[in-house]
Amino acid sequence: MTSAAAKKAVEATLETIKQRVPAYQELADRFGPMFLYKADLLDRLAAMAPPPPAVDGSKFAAGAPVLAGVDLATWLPLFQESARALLPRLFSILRLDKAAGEALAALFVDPPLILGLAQARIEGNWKHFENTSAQLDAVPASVLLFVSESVFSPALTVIADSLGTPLSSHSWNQSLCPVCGSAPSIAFLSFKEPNDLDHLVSGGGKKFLHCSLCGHDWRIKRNECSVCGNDDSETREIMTVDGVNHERVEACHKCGSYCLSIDMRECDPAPQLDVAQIGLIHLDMHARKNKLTPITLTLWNSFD
Amino acid sequence: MKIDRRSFMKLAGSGAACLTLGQLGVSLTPVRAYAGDLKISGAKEVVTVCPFCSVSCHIIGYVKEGKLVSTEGDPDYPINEGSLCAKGAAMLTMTTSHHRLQKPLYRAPYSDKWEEKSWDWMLDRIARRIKDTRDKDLILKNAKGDTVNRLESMFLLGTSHAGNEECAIAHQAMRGLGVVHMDHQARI
Repeated sequence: MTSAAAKKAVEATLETIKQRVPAYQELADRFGPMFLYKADLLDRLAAMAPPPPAVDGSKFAAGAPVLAGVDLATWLPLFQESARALLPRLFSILRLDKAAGEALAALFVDPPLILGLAQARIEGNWKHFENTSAQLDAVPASVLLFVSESVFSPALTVIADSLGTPLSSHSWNQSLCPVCGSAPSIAFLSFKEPNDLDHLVSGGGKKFLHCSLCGHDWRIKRNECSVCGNDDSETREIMTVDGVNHERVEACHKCGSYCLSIDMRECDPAPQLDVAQIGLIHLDMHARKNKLTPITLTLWNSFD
Repeated sequence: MKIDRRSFMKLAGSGAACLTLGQLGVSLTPVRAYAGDLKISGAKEVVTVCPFCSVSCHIIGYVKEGKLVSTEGDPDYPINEGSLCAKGAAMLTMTTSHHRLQKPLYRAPYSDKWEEKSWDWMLDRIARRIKDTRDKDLILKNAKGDTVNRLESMFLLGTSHAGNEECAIAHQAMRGLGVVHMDHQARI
């Protein structure tokens, strides 16, 4: 996706959120620019991106995401450029104090440290973030993780986009991202598909998961829990606000988890999925009140 | 890195301490107030089979408090991939329409009115008409003198609403009466 298209989608989604529910105005105004800055970076990063990583069919079939075990040094310039462009803006949006900002800025100019954080994020090595945070002193691990994800995310989006067709030729039915191995933050049901047969009502409604880190979307079976695979309709539930059926909480009472989802067949224009989560906090609140755990912890479903 | 569902649950559940909106000084009071006023209800998503023809497209039905509230084609079923024909797409109205008959109605010969009758009356009447028709029209032998026990004045139209076992019973019953003309709604 180009920067222009990405920015347009972010702006439209923010506008929709604010117009629809004024209670989200403050959140959208404060955090919206973060998504715009990320979108702005995409063209620049795509221009400097090396060739995409090769997809190892046998590894992939065995359940290993594309970037598992791959040396990320190839994409170091992208991470550096992303850090250079985003960090000052992130510090301002997060309202970090001077000491924390300086510590993070120093961290993200050191290539081995950047690569260490990127590798740790891909491998889900949370301990590495705790250890690094302890060394920095002024930056909590949660802030370090959020900033790292924000910095790596645009670069990984460019990598995921560059994979394109090679990836779609492989089958993948797992709940973790086939590109970076991260958990999904939201699901969506696909748009109606045109067909050439006049007598058929068009389909669509295929379920996709949206990666919380690289933004890659992948198809998954609709009639089952994305976390535990439970396909028993008696223990799964779709919760919606009355009259707003296209924004859903997909809950599994067997494993106690939930995933938000958006039915794109009811959306015009399509929302930018990372931004749309800002405007769905009321659904997260309802799910949390029902003692459900989100499929992935994000800033938007972590309240206190 | 091999990731299966078990390790996914572990990864998702044991994620690092996540940054919270509270840590960033965001007040969620307006959002909580908005959320508190909303009426949120749950529905079950049940996969079922379209009853209208032998293609047997899969349909997802949404059931809220025991009532079917919406239906759509199942995108994961390889035959229809979410698409439905006009009949399948009308599945919801088939079950909820106020035009749907809920009691047996009878219209007497040459009458222009429908009368409500009990099931007992209706079943007795059908049985009587079948018996009379069979007694009157059963062909015992053909022109060559072969025994055929054939009833050509009755016709059975099968329905896709019936399961295999129901179809088998209906078929055997008709064969037992000598009925030879049978077809199925799916061919119409």
